[in-house]
Amino acid sequence: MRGITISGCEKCDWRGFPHRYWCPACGSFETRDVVVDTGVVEQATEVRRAAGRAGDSPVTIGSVRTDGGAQIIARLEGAAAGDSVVLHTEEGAFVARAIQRAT
Amino acid sequence: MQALITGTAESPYVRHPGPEVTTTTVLVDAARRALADAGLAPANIDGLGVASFSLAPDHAIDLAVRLGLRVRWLMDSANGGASAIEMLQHAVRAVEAGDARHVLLVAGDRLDPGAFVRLVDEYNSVTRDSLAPLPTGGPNAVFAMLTQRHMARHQLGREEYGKVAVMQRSWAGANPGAVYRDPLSLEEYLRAPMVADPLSIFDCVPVVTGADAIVVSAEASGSAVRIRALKALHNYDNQDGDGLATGLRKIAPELWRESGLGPADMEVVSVYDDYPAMALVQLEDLGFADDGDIRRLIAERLVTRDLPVNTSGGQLSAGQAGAAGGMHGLVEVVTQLRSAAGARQIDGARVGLVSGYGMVAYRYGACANVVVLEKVT
Repeated sequence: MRGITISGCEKCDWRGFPHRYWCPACGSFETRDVVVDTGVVEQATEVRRAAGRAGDSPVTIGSVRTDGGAQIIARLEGAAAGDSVVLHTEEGAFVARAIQRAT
Repeated sequence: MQALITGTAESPYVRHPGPEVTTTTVLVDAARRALADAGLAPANIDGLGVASFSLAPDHAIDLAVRLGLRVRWLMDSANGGASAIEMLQHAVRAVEAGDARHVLLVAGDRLDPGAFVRLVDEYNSVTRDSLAPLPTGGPNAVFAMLTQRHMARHQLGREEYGKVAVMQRSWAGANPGAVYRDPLSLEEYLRAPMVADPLSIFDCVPVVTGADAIVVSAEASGSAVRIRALKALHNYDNQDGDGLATGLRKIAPELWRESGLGPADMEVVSVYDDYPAMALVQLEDLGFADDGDIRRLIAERLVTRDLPVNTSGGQLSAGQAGAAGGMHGLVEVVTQLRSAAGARQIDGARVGLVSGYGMVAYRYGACANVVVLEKVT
């Protein structure tokens, strides 16, 4: 499914993840779900070893600044640091795929 | 009346505990050693605090029952690397308010591989729901990206983090309680197997089984340490930042003002070393690199031992026994201030600092606290 659900304030322009009940920026009690589907990869790391996962193939994890400002962590598929990405939710996981390579 | 730390102990850390070892048995072992160190009997203990990831379904009250302790003060801490200083914060106030006379604080875990995987994958709801499914495989990926940001901010290469790991391993060589004691060379660090770029196996704490304990008392019969100042600030930036500053940055000025001391007065330091970058972040937050030059901090103060940091070897070399990790550094600094550190003793150390950090809320830790300690007797 294209897009990921993040959290946003009804009263100010704060955006973030995970869901907040009260806005950390302005203290409003009114927050809502916001769907975003694009962003930029800021860091990427290849996870080569993980406890309980010997033998699994490496996974690339990225830190993505989504349009609107919320910073999330996603699995990268065909994307690297600097790339603009499209964001998807697949079986509960945030997945980021490159739109274009950074020049 | 000022509360004092009158006893410390560590139940020896092991990589592969026997089947008879449980989380409860290691906590009990640390507790017994700490009582002996403080010169106390169970009947003297009227307060108990416990930090453990794996004691469930038991809690502090259950451990009090198993130890036959009748307590006027009781707490459980679930705050990982910040739990020891958190419990110390509350125990000191309790003793000074007259709620208890001798408070025992214990922290530790036996985490078999399966329990460890469950712990890191279900650490909190956002990890369970949004990180484990990727899969991130634990916090290493998150701190790998934080380390990349740190490298970019401070213009550092992997060598600098290697120097921190090598420096701590050299201290571990003089600590019989450390699990990894053989000297580590920078070459060995740089060619070590990678875990999550740029972190190698030597950037990640080895998981061990063990426990630590301290006693906080209204009076001392032997050597004791007092608290000059203790501060905490949790969820400092609402997870909206880059993780390269913790709550310590905000509370450091208050800490130094209240303690009447400054970074230059510290003779021995323990910072929470879940990763070399986080040790450096805490040192910077606390004011140990006031020119912001982290490369110079490493080369001129840490590697030279001009500023003794993580003198037990830290978690990176001694091991992380689950929730004991936060108390390990506290036990080490108190041991140094009580002149009981043996071959790794900092001669004449009278004043030291310990910081706690942890509880990865999504992109980095949300808890941070710090204490300045002074030798009394």
